[in-house]
Amino acid sequence: MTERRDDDSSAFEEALDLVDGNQAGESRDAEAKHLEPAIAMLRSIPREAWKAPLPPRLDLEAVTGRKQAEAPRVLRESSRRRRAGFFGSWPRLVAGGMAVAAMVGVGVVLGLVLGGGSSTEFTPSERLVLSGIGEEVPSGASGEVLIADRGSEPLELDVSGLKPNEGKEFYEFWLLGKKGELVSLGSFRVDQEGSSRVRLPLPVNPADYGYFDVSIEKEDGSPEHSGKSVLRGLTKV
Amino acid sequence: MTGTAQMTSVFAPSPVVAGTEGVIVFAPALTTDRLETDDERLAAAISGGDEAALEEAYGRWSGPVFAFLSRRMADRSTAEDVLQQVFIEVWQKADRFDAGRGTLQSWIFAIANSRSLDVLRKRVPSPVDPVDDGFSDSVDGEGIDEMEEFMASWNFARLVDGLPEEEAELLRMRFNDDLSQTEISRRTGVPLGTVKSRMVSGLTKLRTEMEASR
Repeated sequence: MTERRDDDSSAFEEALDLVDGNQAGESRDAEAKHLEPAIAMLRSIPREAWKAPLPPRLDLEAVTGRKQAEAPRVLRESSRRRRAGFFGSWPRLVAGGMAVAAMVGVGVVLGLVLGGGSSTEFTPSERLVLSGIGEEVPSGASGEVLIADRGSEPLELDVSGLKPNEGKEFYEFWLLGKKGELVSLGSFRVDQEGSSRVRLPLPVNPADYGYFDVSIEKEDGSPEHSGKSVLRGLTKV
Repeated sequence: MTGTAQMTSVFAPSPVVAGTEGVIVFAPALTTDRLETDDERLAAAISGGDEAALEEAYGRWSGPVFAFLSRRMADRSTAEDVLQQVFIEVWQKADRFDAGRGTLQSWIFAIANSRSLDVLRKRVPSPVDPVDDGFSDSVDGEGIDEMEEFMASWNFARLVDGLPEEEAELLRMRFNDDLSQTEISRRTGVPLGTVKSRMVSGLTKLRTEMEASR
């Protein structure tokens, strides 16, 4: 981070210039040598560390998930990019939309409103079931999506029976629109029992999309859906 | 704070983050023990859903993290978005903070490093791992050196803030404003010899802190 210098002198030369000129040469050199690292460190400090830009005020409700925050710009851009990629790479999923809808429909249960005070951590207002999809998915694989009251808590995903991750594999959780739109909600790994429970921000209204989808992904740097879905379910009753 | 002895009691080195041995990270704190206790207390409170603790953490570290993000992203609005993502993760993952692996500041910076790289590289955010504590939440250690250097720079600048103001001001004018000793003397009206002696005094204290942190 050494980026800024106002002259060509070395840190040692600057130290030498600072110390008492009346000292004997050897003593003067020793003191300059002693101060040199501090000068070098000060020279390397970037402007942002000297005087920081003022951070925005904490949006407590958005950070804690007590309200559904506006989707961050970054995520919105990501969504657009993924939408294009999805159509390009996986048109068969879009074409098969009707079949998918019929299949996942069986996995949906009625929304559940928990009584007041039953949980101070997470109070779901809807509980949606995800069912296994694809040939490589263990028969017992399933998932639940808990959606809290709007304006209170984020979303919770609870999966079980999935194949434990190998190497750099991981699972990714998506919102899938009926026209193939994709929004990544987050990614996770499972334990050796194939289970995981994660709480994730919900930056968009899931009702605007048709399905929740869990895919298996590889750490290959590609942000696109792999096309290998393992769980899927409707986003609303 | 008027002398080295008092500075030593106020500033202590933070534990070095695993995997970054050799990088000196200066952290303002009462003592290392106090720092760890304080970090653990704060992390535990946040993981327990204490919003006041989250506000406390934001008050302490949003400044340096935002400064780091602003520098890396080179765009304020993007830095603001990433900062919010960072503190969403702090809120959600505080139970994974391990004081044995580093300070809370290091942990939050590690998250900021990963999330900012996600945006810069347009990559899928790192997976949520049941056993990941956040310190290793970065692909192949990418960006760690830059992050550690910035954190060290930030903390060193705070050491300057802790010096007697007449010494700190001169060092800021010299190393932040890039003024020569002569220009500093002219602007402040302080004789050149006094400018030099005050700078030497401040540098000597900083040097003592550097040695103490090794």
